Amino acid sequence: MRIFAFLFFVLFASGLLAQSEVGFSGIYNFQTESIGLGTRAIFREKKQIQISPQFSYFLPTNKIHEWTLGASAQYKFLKRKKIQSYTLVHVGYNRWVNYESSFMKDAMLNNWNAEVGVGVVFGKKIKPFVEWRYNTRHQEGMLHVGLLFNKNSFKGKKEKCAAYD
Amino acid sequence: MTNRNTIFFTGATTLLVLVATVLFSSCSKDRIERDLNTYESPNAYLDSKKQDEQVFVIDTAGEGPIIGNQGTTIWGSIDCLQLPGGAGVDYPFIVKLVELYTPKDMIYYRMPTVAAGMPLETAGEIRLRAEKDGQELVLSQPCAFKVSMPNAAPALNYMNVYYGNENGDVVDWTTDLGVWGITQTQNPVFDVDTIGYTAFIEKLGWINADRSVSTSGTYSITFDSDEDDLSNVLFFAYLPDTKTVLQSSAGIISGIPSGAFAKIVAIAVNTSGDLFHFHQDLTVNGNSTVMVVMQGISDPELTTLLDSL
Repeated sequence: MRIFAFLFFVLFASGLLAQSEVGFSGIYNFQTESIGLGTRAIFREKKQIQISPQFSYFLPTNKIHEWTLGASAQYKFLKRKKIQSYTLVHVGYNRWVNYESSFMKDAMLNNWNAEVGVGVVFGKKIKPFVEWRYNTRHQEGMLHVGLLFNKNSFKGKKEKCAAYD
Repeated sequence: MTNRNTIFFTGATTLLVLVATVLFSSCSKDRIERDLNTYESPNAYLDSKKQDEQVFVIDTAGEGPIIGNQGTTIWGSIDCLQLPGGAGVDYPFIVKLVELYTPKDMIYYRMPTVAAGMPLETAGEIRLRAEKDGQELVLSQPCAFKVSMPNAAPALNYMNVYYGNENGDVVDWTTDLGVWGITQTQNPVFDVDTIGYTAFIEKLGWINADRSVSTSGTYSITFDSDEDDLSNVLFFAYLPDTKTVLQSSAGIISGIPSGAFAKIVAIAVNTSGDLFHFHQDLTVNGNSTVMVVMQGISDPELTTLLDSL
């Protein structure tokens, strides 16, 4: 798992370097009643279609202990001022750590998951987002709530220089 | 909020609700819950198979006795019957009889042979009732009906008269007539006649020719399954050495004598009305858990299985 975390860190840092967006989220899976944490980077921030490498981790305290490394393709629609909605398709490698405790007949350690969803992101600097996703393999719904940051997130307002007045 | 903002939020909210509704409608908890086969109660099936209650209309003081389909023989007098309030009874009146002499019939009727949690050896169960104009009659005190229960090899001074104490769906057997405020005046031990076991009964209702099974201790069997939801499955244990019938309560059969050989039978019906069963023979030397895999079975096959117990 460490190597994947490292890879994601590289992606995350590259997102920063590319002046794209990075972010984190809390995740709740309604069907497994599990709480997770997620991180993501978003490339092509200004474009209609965006690419977002993502990593999520559901804690061992949950009924399902797992992590997923993958990427989303996001399509923007219905933009209104500081509010932007989007649909997404996510494909990822999933490692279901405690699969042996499941009653599922075909439970496995290594899995490929696909998810579809919709989301709404608010603001321009620090951007809260809410995302509803559906795991097509396990037929589970998840809610992601988090924050996105970009290069302007921590810049103050530009002050006018008196010399140019 | 401007009209354009209103339209935007209405559209976005509608889309989210639609997507959530569609997705929630096909969500699954398979990863955290057992994906088990489910069943419904088999009671309707068992009711369809159980022994009919025989009805005898008594309209004259004939010679008698009343003889049931399986040979149960009853001698009684109208003078021993009264309405619950104590009034006498005149002709005609009705006598009703249920005869349970095989483990199959006791299973169909869900009438285990247990007294206060302890197993009983049985030579048969009957239910004897009398009615007048829809009112259930009782025996006046002290008065008794003579009953003979068929048996090929009855043992003298062996079986006792047990009465069924009905508590909801459960019938607990007892020799204590005091439960109903009746003072015992007859010999509570079955005599032997040419029919089988014979005794004078002092209360109408469920009657059982029984004997407490002597044992150094009793054990329980718990049932579990990786494939079947057992919550609606009925389990029975038949102990052929003592002709004892036990029935599960909350998925557990208890009161099995130490060292007893038990024939376990489980019965359930799925939502389509198909019959399922499980069958296992085992010797019980301690509390144990039996893993169950229910299997489909036809009605004739299950009947044959129960006949073979």
